[in-house]
Amino acid sequence: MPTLLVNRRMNPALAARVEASVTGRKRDATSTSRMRRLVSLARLALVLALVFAIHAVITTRQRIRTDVDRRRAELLETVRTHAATLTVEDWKAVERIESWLVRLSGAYEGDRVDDRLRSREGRTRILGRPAVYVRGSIDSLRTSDGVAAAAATSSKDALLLCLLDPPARRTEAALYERVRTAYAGGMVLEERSANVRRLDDAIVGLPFLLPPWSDRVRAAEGAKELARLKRDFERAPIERAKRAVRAEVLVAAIDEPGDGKVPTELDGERPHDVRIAIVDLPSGEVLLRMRRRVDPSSLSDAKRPMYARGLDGCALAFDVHRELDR
Amino acid sequence: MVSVLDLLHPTPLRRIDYEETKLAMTLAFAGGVSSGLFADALDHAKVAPSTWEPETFAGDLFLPQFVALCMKVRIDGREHPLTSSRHVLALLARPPADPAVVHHRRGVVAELATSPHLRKELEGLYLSLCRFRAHLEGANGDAKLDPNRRQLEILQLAKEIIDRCAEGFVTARSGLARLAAFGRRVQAGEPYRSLADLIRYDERLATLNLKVRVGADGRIRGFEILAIQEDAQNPFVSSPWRRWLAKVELFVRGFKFGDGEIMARLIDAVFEGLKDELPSFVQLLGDVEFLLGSLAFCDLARDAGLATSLPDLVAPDQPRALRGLFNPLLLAHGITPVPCDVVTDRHDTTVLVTGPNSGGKTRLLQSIGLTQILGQAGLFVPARSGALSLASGLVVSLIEEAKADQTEGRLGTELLRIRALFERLPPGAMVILDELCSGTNPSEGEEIFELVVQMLERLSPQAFITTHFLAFAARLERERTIANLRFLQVELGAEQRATYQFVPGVAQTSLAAHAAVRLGVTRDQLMSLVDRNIHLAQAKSARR
Repeated sequence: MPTLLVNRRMNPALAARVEASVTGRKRDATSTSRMRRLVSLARLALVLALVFAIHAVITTRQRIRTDVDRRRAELLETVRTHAATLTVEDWKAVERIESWLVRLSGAYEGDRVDDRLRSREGRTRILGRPAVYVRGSIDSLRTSDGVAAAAATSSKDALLLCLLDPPARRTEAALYERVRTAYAGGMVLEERSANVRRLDDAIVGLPFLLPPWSDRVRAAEGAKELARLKRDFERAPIERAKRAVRAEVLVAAIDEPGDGKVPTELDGERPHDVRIAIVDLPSGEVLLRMRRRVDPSSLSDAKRPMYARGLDGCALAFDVHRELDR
Repeated sequence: MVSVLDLLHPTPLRRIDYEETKLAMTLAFAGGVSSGLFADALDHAKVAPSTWEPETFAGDLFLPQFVALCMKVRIDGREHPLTSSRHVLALLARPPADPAVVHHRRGVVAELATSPHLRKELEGLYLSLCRFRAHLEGANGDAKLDPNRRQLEILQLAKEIIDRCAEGFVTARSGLARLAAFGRRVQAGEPYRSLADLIRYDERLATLNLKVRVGADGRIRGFEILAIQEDAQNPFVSSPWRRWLAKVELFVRGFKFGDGEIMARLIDAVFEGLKDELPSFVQLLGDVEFLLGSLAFCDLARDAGLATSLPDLVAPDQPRALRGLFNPLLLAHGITPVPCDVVTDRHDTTVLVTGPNSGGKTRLLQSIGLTQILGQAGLFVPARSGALSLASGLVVSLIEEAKADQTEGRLGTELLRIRALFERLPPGAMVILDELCSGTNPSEGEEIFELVVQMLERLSPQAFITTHFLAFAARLERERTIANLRFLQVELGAEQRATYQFVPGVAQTSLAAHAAVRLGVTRDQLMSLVDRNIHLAQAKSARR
């Protein structure tokens, strides 16, 4: 290959020697020229590697950016799709439920029973509607933040299960059968309380469909942060939240403080009053408001330490049904 | 095919190992770490075919000392050490067998001696060669400097040498004319033109015409560029963008990125074209050193009031007449020797030299031996004028020092010396023997002496033998039983003192008494020493 060091003014012999000096094609080619060729190749390889690396970095960054944008758009579209299924009333459901809980936790307004609950069929029909359930201490349910904290720890329990499907008798064995089902959780409990959602589902899931969370998605820098947001969204109880906010019935159990004169059981249960409320959310009508005392002292020593709260809850639900049947 | 640059032979000889020297020069040019390249090449240089064997005379005649002390090149009062004294020594100790070579060299030195201009040019050429050697071998420490600058200086010196050869010896008629021919031939070639272009490119890429404004205080206030003239015809000049692209190209090819690398490639290309000529410089330096060393010897003698000459070369049966012969070894040691004349009716004779101790016999033998060496090497001899007959060899036995591993006594050693002489003595050689058979009793020694002289006659040598067997020598002179025997004796002056001149005849006395007086070996002197020693011994005994 000719060299730029050669020009037309040069004698051909000189030009040939200059070219030989540059290309290393001398007659007495030594290890130096071979070494120089190796250096040349190494430099060429280095330059090519650098170019390739730069190209790879640029294209990778572009691909990542495109990929992030695509994922961002997909995530936003998913959010938008879910949000679009909710009505204005749905968006206000949690607020409405909170206001009911605050009211129910206030000064007790006295027992009230709607006639529709007097019959077993009526109760079955009302309690079979889409419902949302929460149980908490009376102190926590008096504020919005308290409601959220109480809802987070409130799960489907023996009281709810026995309210939906009361045991045949109020014996400890019959109650214990329901309690075991409630404590075991899982699919059995879910099937037997399929129409009921926890309030926490709505409180946790609904923010993912709100504009602030979409803004976070839009502002996310990089695939890593976007992946984390997407993972959070996928783990969020969106469907359950949607069902929770569409609930027509609020079932609430409000624990009043105990008197503190007797020891508390290992699971926290102690003698205290519990308010049971069933509210028809669309109409804003209280269907049931009742305050009854629970006391684990009558439970056997074998069950009380571990199952006192469950057995008391189930017994309370049994008592509610028995009173409504009178 | 590159022609050989040889100043010392009528038919140019390539005496150094050309390819090895070229490789060494290439490496030295590239790296500047090849000190001794010139000396190594010259040390191992071949010489013209010779029948002489240096080991038979060089040591006895102190030839290495003669070269070191008498043939130092002197230019403008400054001495320059020889690049290779071994080379000069080899040229002297192995004189050419072909008389044409001797005549060729005599022509060169004669022209140098008679033409101050040519000598001046040769001295200038020598200095350029020395600088070239110093730069190439890194002797002046510039190998650590910018490699391009160093290589450009070497190339500049190469051009200077070529130019000096081409222009300085145009008028030469002797073998020196080869320098002009060499210079012109190289100048006509493309490599030289490229060399000149490169040096011009380095020194004068462009010329600026400036107008400088000077203020009232003499300080420069500013300047204005009137014109820029680029040396556009120079093949090495290229546009700035092309030079930049060339740098990129070199980088991709594995070189450094920079202007220096471009210049390095151009230097390399120019050197590549020239490198076949450069080994000639090595041989040339050796030849010039040999010639200037000969002239330096002449200068040394002239400064001491002594004359040197190119002797006539005659046949062996022609008369020998060395006029104003002096001993150069004495001269080298700062002693002004007394010149003498040595005259015999023919060269192929055996001359018995007799005379008193310290009368100059051994010095005469040294002078004759060195004269023969220098004369046969084609150089000036330590004599005002004279004639020489070329000898087929030279055997000298001046000193026979006792050795630690010597197995024979003095007589045995002397007999071995005689045997060794005849082992290697060809017909027509020069033989120089000092005090033959001095190591045994006179009666037996004289018998062997006579045998040696008789046997020598058959080889027709040019023999010079000193002896203290005065009665024996007188008998040989008187009886004339050996035809080619001649006799020289030390001339005595007033008070029987040696005049260091030599006249025909046999000495009557060795003047041992004179030497004894001079060296304190008289009866009275020895008696006083004995008395003193006895007195000192008694005093030491009394103290104990």
